[in-house]
Amino acid sequence: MSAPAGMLGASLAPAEQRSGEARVAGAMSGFAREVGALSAFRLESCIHCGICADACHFYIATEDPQYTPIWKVEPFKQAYKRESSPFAPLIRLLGLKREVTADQLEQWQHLLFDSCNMCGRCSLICPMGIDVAALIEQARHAMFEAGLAPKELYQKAAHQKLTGQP
Amino acid sequence: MDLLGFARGPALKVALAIFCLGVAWRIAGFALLRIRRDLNKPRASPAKFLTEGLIAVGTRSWPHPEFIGRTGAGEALGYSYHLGLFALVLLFGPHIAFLGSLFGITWPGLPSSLITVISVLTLALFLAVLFRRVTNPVMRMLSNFDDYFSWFITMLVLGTGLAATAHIGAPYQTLLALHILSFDALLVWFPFGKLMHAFYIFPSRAINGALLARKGATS
Amino acid sequence: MLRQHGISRRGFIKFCTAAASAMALPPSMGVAMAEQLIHARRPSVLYLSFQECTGCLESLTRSFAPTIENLIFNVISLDYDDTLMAAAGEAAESARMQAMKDNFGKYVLIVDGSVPTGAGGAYCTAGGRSAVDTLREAAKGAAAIVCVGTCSAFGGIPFADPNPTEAWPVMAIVGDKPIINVSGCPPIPEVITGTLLQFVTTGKVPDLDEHRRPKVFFGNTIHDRCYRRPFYDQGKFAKSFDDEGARNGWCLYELGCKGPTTYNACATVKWNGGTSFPIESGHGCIGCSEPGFWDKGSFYAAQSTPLWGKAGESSPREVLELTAAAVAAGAVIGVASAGVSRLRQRRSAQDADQRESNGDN
Repeated sequence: MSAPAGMLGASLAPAEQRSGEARVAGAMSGFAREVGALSAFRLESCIHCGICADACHFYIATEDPQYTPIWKVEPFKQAYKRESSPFAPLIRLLGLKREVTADQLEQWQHLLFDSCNMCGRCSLICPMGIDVAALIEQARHAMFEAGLAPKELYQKAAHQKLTGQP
Repeated sequence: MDLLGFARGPALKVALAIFCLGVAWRIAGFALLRIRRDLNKPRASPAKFLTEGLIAVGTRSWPHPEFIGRTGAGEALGYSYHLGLFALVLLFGPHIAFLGSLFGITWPGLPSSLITVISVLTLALFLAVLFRRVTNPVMRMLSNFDDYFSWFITMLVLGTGLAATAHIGAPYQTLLALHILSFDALLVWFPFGKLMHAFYIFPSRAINGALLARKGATS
Repeated sequence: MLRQHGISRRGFIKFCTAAASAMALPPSMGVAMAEQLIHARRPSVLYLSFQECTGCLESLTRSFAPTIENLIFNVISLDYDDTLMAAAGEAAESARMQAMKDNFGKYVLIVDGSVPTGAGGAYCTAGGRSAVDTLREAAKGAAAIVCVGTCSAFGGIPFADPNPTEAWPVMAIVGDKPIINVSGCPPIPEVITGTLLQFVTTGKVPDLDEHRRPKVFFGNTIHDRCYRRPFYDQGKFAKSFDDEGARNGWCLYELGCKGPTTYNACATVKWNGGTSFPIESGHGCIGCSEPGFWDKGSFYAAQSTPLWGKAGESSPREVLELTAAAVAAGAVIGVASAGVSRLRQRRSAQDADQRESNGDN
């Protein structure tokens, strides 16, 4: 996948050094950069059947519903519906979807980074043909923009920028 | 104007207009967002994208063998009520007359008594899927207003239709009017909820198959 | 008259005496009763016709039991009917006025045809007086009003869109008298005479449905009593007239039969003394005893079909025009919303770039 524009210039500062609003704004703008027609289509197509859970090893091992793959991108689905979907102005006007909060994003760190190995089984099982793994990838990019990715990744990125070596 | 005349007339006209307008708005509204170029080299020819896409439309209708154990029953439940709905919507005489007068074509149907059997089975399956949605922890966590309301409005059409053909609960013209009115309501709700998956399902599967082919993963 | 019916004078007096003693009256009352009965007046009935085709009267004259002769010679005193009576002009009108005066409060008023109110009521006049005025005046002394036919009951064909004469049913004009609607276009003969007899002999209005029709005749739909019902249940529908299904007597739902929503006695009492009724003859019910049946779409379009457009039914072309227009409008709005979303995305990205170049706080 191509690198999202601005990523190389994105702040490589992890979360502690930024305020809550900045984190949310960072995540949302990162996500806005990511979401195109294809991601939008995928987010639109989800019918909440929950079948993706049955493919995810994290769910199978724990039977904990929070590991449902599509649930891992829930804040971004919420943001898409509120900001970029065809009925977004109506949704904002009637308050049908709330704004994503900083706390929400922090809660989702664990789901996006600790509970997915991008095996892609969810993308294979989805009866609607949604590439769930691709959505998680985009969500991770947005979390990085928000300073909510694991510290190690920022260190790696900074090192790469400095030395030109991985 | 009586209720039946209203349901068959102005209400249907407005509902149909809102349906078409809403569907076009929704699809145009996201299909015209940015298309991000994938700078990776494609691993297959464009012709292969097409064929793999079309194959995916079919293969996604049933889970891959290793998933069947966990997910087969639930998926079968979902498909079976869809089949029931298609049968009774498309193969019942008065429905064929309705669609025929809209589109100018007709086709043969099934005996009404068989349709009644199918309808009752579909009704039972509908109740079963609601039960599942409420009791299954994953689905309970995922489900929102859209899921329950879409179920409710489809159920309303199904229930009033059964009552109308069985002539129970009220005089026939009231039952028929309520059935057509609930269908009008379904048309109005359609573009705004998950019922849109009817339009999404085949393109979505096809795109998934095509992009997997591009990555070099063919079936 | 009794002699014609084979009853001797002696026999008649004996009957009256027996009746008197049965009622514990002295035998002399028997003579008084005989005198009374001989001179007893048959109930006065006035028949007024307004915007009608005379089909309802034609139907009435074909009643099998009681026959029209039996009715008007033995049971009622038909004091006015502009079609049947021998008199005409001033003589007829003065007979009517006399009957109304003599029987004020007691006569049965039968009305057929709708009542136009447009142009001051000028669309229907008799003897220089408008129908609406005549009706109002005649209603004053009526014991009850029996509206024969869908026109007087619900407005009928004059009332149908666009109703140029501003026609109304009787019940929209008269509010303070018992009204019995015997609807149908025309009603079944025995339904008319049966209802009339019931009121004349008992003096009571029968049980009526919400449209004021006697439940005894209008309590079930045609569909409920139709002999072709098993074919409906089996889904065996005739698709066109004289096709194999039609010739086998299959259900006529798809040929537009309005039986399921029409309340009348056609399927049981039938026509011509029980000979047949429209469905039995191979034509779907047109719903002629229901209000507004002329404006409910084609007689040949099934009841489940859409009902809009010029002739009250939709054509595929109209549907195509509507859906195409709606899709076009939706697409335009969708393009606009996509444009707005892209703009917001770009701005959001620019804001982020701005924050980065300023350095995060």
